[in-house]
Amino acid sequence: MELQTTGTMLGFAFLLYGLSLAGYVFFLVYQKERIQKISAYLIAAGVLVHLAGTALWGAALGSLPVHNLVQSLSMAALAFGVMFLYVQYKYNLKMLGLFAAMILSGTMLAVLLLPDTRVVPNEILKGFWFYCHIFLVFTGDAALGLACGAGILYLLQEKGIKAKTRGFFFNRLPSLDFLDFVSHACIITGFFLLTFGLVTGFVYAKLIWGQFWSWDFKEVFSLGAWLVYAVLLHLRLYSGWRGKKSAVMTIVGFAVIIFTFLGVNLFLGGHHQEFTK
Amino acid sequence: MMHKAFSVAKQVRKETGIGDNAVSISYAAIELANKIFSDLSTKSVMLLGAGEMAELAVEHLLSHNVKQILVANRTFENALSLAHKFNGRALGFEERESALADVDIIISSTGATEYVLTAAQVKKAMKKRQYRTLFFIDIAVPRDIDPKINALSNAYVYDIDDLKTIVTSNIQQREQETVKAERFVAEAVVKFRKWQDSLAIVPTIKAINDKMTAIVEMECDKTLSHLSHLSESDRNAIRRMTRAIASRAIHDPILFLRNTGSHRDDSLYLNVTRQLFHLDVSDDQ
Repeated sequence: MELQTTGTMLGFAFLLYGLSLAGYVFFLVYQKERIQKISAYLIAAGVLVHLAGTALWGAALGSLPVHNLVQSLSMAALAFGVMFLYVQYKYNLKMLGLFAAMILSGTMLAVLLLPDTRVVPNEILKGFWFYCHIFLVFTGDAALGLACGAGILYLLQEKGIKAKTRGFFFNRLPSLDFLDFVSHACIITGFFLLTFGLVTGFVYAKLIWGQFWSWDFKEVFSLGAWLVYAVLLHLRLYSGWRGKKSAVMTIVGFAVIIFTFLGVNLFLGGHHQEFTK
Repeated sequence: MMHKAFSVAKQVRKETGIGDNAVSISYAAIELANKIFSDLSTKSVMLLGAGEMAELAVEHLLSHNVKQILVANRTFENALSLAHKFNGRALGFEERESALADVDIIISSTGATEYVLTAAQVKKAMKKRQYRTLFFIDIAVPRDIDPKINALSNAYVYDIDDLKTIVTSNIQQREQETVKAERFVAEAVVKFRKWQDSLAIVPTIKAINDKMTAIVEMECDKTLSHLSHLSESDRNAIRRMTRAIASRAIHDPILFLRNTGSHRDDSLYLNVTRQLFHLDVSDDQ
């Protein structure tokens, strides 16, 4: 019964995300500010419904719904939505919503279409450190995803200005400085969260398996993604890697994160595998 | 009327792209600067050359409140006087390369026949300024700024031809939008005409009424003065009757004027009516 309600709520959240995507596409073409505002509120409404649905889901399962691929994807989308609302509120980078709505609708579509395989709740996947680990990693990844979105917008605007053609996006996007600034702010936030996410993961691993590090593929790739951003931040500070290079790196970094999230489980295996069965 | 004109102007701006793009070179340059930097008031400008072109460019930039203006010129006196005029700082022409580390926008308008800034120089300066963005506006002919600089990361070079191309394409776009704007104006004019015509119907009806009342009063006075044997109540009855005849007689024409229907040309009927009742002449008298 509760699972059914959850399904309905997730479907409704998908509907709201989809409507917002349509709104953002309309905004992209016609540049009507009101439509952009409405679309942002639609995402906010979607996130609320999504959050309620997830809470219900958790109550029905008796644990955080991150035990299989569908649950993890839904949780990732929820974290992404929350993070987007924060960034939208703080920086009001209007076109970022288009990227966010695309990611949210796409992910939720996958959540609705993929089968929710039954998993026996694993008793070790509980406790303070586990919840911390999940919360920090998911929100951190979401912030880095938004950094990638701002990076893509930067590249679009930069391409037009460099080529002197201006083109479609010139009037639709803010200045390069601002796009770079938002992207950088998202990287810092995401890197901070991800760092603590990894640390709590180590602590949790020590408590459960008795060792901090076990050469699990997911661990290796997570560290790889973390290193990409660490290098990026370092280069920005000491070698002036800003603008285009930084924007390309945010896309590379996010690709590594997506691979860490999905690819490792689908292709390689390891003790994180069961989350994405 | 004025109010309506302004509101149509607002509608034109809002619903067409007519005000979207720059149609002058200096405005195009400022627009670009605003798409590269988020806040011009924190940016410094260096002028290379202190001629008239440079002065014009700065006048436009100043209205956007840049942080600082540096002027470098071969003849130091000219640099000094221009810098003084805009509250800036004068530099020796040889200092231009080292100054690249601190400025963000470079406007060049010297009469030099060779590049005054080469890609190699800017590359070096870029490293020093940690690849913070540089925007070069080259309004000199022949060019002052090596176009290869545009290929360096975070450096953007626009010369006078690039800016002119932008302006030309903007003007073309504006012309397309003008068609749309003209339609808005035409629509507004039609609406305004209608409103004006509706105003004219009311005075016409009133004029017809007035004229009929005047005729009735005059004729009654004339006739009743010969009929002194009638009682006061009889006289009033006759007056009432004549008034009623008059108002019934003009009832249908007035009704017709009130509802000419939106398909017909009101001014035509008003014109005919005024002529039929000879209204305008009596107004003149």
